[in-house]
Amino acid sequence: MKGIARPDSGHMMLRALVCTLGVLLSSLSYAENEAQLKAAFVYNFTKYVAWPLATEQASGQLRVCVSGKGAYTEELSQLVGREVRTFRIDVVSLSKEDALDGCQVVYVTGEDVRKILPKTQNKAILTISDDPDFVARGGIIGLITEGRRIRFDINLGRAKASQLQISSRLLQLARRVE
Amino acid sequence: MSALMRALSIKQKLTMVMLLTIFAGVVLIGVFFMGYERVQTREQLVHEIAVITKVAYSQVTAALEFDDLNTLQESANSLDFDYTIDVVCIYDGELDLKARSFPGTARAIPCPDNPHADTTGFVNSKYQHIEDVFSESVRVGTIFISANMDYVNSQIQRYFYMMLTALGIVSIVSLLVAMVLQKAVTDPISELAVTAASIATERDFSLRANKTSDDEIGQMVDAFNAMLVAIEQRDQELRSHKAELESKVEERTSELKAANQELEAFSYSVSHDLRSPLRAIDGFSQALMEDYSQDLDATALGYLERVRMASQRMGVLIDSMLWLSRVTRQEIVARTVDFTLMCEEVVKDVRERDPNRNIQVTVQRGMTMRCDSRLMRIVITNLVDNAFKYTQKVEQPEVVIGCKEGVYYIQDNGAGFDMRYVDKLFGAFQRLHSKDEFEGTGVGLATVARVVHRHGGDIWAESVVDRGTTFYFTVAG
Repeated sequence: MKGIARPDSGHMMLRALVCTLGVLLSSLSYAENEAQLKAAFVYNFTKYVAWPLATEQASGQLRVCVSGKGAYTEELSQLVGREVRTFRIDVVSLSKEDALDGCQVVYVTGEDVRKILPKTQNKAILTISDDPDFVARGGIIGLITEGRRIRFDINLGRAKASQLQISSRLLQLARRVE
Repeated sequence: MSALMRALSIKQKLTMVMLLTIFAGVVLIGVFFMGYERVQTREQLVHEIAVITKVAYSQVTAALEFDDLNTLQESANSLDFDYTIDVVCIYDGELDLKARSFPGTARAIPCPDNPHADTTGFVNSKYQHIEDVFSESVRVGTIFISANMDYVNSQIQRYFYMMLTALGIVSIVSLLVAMVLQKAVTDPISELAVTAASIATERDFSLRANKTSDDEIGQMVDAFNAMLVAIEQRDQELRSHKAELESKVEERTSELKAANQELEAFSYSVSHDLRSPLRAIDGFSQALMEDYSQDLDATALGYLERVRMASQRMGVLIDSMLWLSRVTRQEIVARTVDFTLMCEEVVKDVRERDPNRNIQVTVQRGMTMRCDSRLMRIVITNLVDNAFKYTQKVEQPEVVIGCKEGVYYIQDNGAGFDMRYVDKLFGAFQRLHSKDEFEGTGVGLATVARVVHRHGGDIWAESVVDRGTTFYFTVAG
């Protein structure tokens, strides 16, 4: 597990840059890169998900762990330093042996879904993927591309099992809630 | 306005004042409440929109964050909660329009291109609410709501009609109340006015106004009555004074009459009694001159001649005095006479006395006069005589007798007199010319004036020395 792109020097500048990018990302322009849109979605999900009390009170970092091919690591790493409630987002890339301890969000794609998903069972980890069957396979939020728009499904049962509380606002916006 | 106010009675004025006051009050209150209601409804509208925006805020935020157009549309529609709202527009973080309430409906109002939160407020009789949507301190979108003033205006209109109704009701009620209450004020005044008017027309100062209240009107009634008492007292005093004066005048008049009669009797008897000794003086002087002319020298005869002249002049004087007293005593018998004829006869008589003189006399035709003809003949004789006398030294003497606007005149172009002495003209035994210049006794004009005065008329003269004199006189009736 190693941190990405977090140089101490120019920290503030980076933050400013990231904020500006965030604004651009959350505006959801059709012309925008799908990857950036998905990264923005990941960020936005964290606003509407509440972790168990211990995690919330510990505050500090909200670690987004990224795994799998084509997992937009680059785009997601732009979220580093952004704030959600009392958290500051940190993005790390997962290697196969790494434990998931310390991850609050796991973004996983491709083959890694099958490997990593079982490890997240009953842990307070928000799993997100753009794998089409992700929700059916036990993931919590699955991103779906419909034409040029991005929608999402939510597996509420799994979320509850993971002690995650998903805001009704988010549920309202979900394409499907299971 | 002031002319109208003048024409109104106190009752009407009071009613008008009351009505206008109430009108002003109701209108003021109405305007105040209308203004208040306007502010209130506006505030209510602002508050309502703020509240529903807050309610929809989180839904809109989430929908914007996840680019959920359906939810944004729903939110826009739910914000457009009634007809007060014209349109709701939802923009994303880059101010691209994402949703508009009820798109395609008839009351579609275009969404502005670039809404800015600073422009929230009332613009062109519309209220627009613009709220930026933030998520984690980042603006993710903007909500624009435009509301019309229909409700606010209808509220104000309702208030206006309410005010009109209130104005009507209050006016009617207050008119009724005023009609009852104003009697307390106007009745005493009306009563006072009636009393004053009847006093003015009937001149009955014994009337008194009735006091019904202790206010200023009551005081006025008291003052009025006090004034009446004073007037009545003074009236009585005046009347008693007048009676006193009248009796005094009567007394004096009778005294004067008696004195006058005495005087006249005296002068008559004196004149009369003076004649016989005078005749004796004249007669015996003549006898002396005729019978003893050989024994007397020329000087003695001259003296005697002077005695005779003097006694004859005295005789003329006595005759004149007799005339004067007769004129004073004689009763006036007035009838209409042919004044022109009278004047012509007099002129003829006077001419005959001095046939050598050639005087041109003009008498106006068709003059009549209501007078005592014998006395008036004396007047005319004296005046014509006068005119003839004072034109002695004129080359072409002219005398004109005429009448103009009820004033008779006799004009000559003779010697005239100095107007400074005009006061003395009609006094008995007053002469403006010496006896050497013109003969005369100084009784003639006094007699003339007395006759004219006894006819209830007046006499005056205008003169310019060496140019002539005009006598004017009038008679009563």
